Amino acid sequence: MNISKQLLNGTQRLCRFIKPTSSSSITSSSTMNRSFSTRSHHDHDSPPPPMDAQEKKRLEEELKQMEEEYEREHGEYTNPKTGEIGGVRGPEPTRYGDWERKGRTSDF
Amino acid sequence: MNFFEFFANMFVDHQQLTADFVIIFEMLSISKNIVKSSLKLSNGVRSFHSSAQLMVNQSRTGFEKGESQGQFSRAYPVIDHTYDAIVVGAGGAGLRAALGLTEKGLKTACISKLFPTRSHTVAAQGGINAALANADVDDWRWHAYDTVKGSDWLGDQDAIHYMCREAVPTVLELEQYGVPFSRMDDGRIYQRAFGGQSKNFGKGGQATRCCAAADRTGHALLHTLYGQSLKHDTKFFIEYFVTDLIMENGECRGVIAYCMEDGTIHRFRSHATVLATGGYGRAYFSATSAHTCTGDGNAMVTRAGLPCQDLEFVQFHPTGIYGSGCLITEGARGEGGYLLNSEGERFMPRYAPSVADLASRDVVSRSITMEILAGRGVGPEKDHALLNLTHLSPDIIEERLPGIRETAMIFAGVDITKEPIPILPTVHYNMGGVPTNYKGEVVTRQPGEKTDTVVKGLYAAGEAACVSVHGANRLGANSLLDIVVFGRACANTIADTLAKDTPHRPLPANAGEESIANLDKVRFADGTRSTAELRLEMQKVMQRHAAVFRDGPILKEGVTNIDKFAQSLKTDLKTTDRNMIWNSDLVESLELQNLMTQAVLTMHSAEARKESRGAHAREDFTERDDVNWMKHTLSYLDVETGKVTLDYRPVIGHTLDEAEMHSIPPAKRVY
Repeated sequence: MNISKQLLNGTQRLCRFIKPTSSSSITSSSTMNRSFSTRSHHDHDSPPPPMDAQEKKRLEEELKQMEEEYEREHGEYTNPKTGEIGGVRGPEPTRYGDWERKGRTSDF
Repeated sequence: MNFFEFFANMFVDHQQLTADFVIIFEMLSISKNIVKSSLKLSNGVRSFHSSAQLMVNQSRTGFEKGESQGQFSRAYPVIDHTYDAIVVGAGGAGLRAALGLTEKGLKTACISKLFPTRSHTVAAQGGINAALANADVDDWRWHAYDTVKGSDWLGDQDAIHYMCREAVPTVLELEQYGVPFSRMDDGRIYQRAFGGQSKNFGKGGQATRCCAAADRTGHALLHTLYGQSLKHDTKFFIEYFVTDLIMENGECRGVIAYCMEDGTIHRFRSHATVLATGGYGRAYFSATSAHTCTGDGNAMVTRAGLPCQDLEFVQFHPTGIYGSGCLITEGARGEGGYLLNSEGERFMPRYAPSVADLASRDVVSRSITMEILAGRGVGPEKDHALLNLTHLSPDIIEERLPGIRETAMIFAGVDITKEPIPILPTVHYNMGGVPTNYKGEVVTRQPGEKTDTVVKGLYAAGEAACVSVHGANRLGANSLLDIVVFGRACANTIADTLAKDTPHRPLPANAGEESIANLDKVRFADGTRSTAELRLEMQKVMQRHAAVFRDGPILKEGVTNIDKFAQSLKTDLKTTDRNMIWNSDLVESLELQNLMTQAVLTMHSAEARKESRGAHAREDFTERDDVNWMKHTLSYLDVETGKVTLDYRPVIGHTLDEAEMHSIPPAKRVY
């Protein structure tokens, strides 16, 4: 559960890359205690400046490594709601009637 | 000329003998002997450590002596090849056809202007429809009904019968080839519900038949098929731009291509040619397709005097990012985003009072276009609209649409919490293409004949072909299915009709001469307007006149403008690169010529069709007219004179076998 929670955190953090994170280390145990409520204190007044490209790359690498580590230990990613094995992480792409990933629609 | 003389000439000519170069020169004099002997060693052997001399003088066949070979000469050395079957295009359909042909033991060549895994199929994230009945009860006949209805009864029912019936074995075959579909816990392919699919002929609720490989189905499919075709020893000719078909007495004998790597011309002779070159999205200003989607196969067929079918049916998505062409999901509007015009007005309630921004895609696309045509577009050219998400809480956006801020920043350069996203209706699929029957054979109509004639030796599959399974409108998840089913069908048909080791007849004398003459003309074109300028003009004309909003006056004006453009392309084109090696100027200009044929035919076909059906919706003829217009448009272009001829052929309303599947009588298309 440790790793999956960290993975979830990592994904969330990467998706919200535009906001800088308060915690420096993604692997510290304190990340487990970070809840949605502490994150919501990020201001609604003005969004912070975009994240540096290097930082983003570093985070993406870390996330990828964590995903691979998870898969090695637990097997392919299984969607908790639908039971789909090897599917996408995150919300169901077809929930809006089209195939949505990262705000983009794909045509197929 | 050895290394030193070359080096010395370089510097003496340019008079750049500074102190540094003098030192280097002297060092080189010392090492002269070492270099000479190392050159001797590498004579005839391709060295990875190339020196200047090797790069200048070495060709594929060894060292050439004398003046530079063919850089600016107008002699075109032609190399001939012979194969049982050739496939033009290495996307989903092309690779599946090539794979099928080599599996059956035919000597096959696959020619592509791109590396196979860079074809546009790779961008398809979603899945393939197949009535496997893994998640829920299902029947391929229900899938066929949905497809016929989706096509607004312009799809040929025998082809739809074939596609939906073959979907199940085809998808299972793909699984055997190694496509990593996502699974259920018992190991069967996981299927999800997707729009437009129903159970029990539309009466049984949502059907669950979309099989996906995470969110990279197209990518996985393409890589799997490429790997499999290499395993079966398909010969690939990569980065060869096929310019034309070689026809003889109405039969296709092969193709002629320009090798971009070394500037040579290649003729391929074969018993069967499969065109799988994709669509022509780049004829429009805003398209999701890659810049390489230029309808090359359709244009080759047009230049060979054969028709293209149903080109007026082009699918649009309402919210594509202005400039890059990426599509923003409908979820953005579903979560509360709304569209704005230049006056800062939410204009959707005027067009769809009850649902406003949540109206169906075609209504939204038409509304945006009408606002732009009325002069209320935004931007310096007043040619797009805005999608506003600034009023939504950033947390809500992140939770419901993770990653959309990143997408908007990368592709539109906007921060969605501060500014709206510039959007306009964007092309994402072409239903029309080369007319074929359900076996994949290209068909045509001889003048005055009432039945189709099969063009011997020519086949087509994928988006380039119009079988027609998508008719007037394509359902989601059917395109990936179409490409693999009909790629497979072409391979099966060719293998069934072609005996192994059938002897080849010699090509007609001077085959491909006209194509080389055209290539030469474009290479040395010396007009006034660059390719990029002409292409932008064509794209703007198409986006304005043949887009989502179609009306009599706009279409007529479009016809005049596009004909003027076609004439301008012939006389005003200017290219600057005269070299033959990696001449992207030349290739882009040839692609523009191809796009031009498609643009002209699309515009003329759209103007002629006086009804609204599927993706072709007209303001002056808003109803579907089955009495007069339930037929396919065949469009011919005489490239010399620019004259367009339109003909029609009936929609096939009967299925392959009435006992297996009943034909579906036309009805009003409501969802």
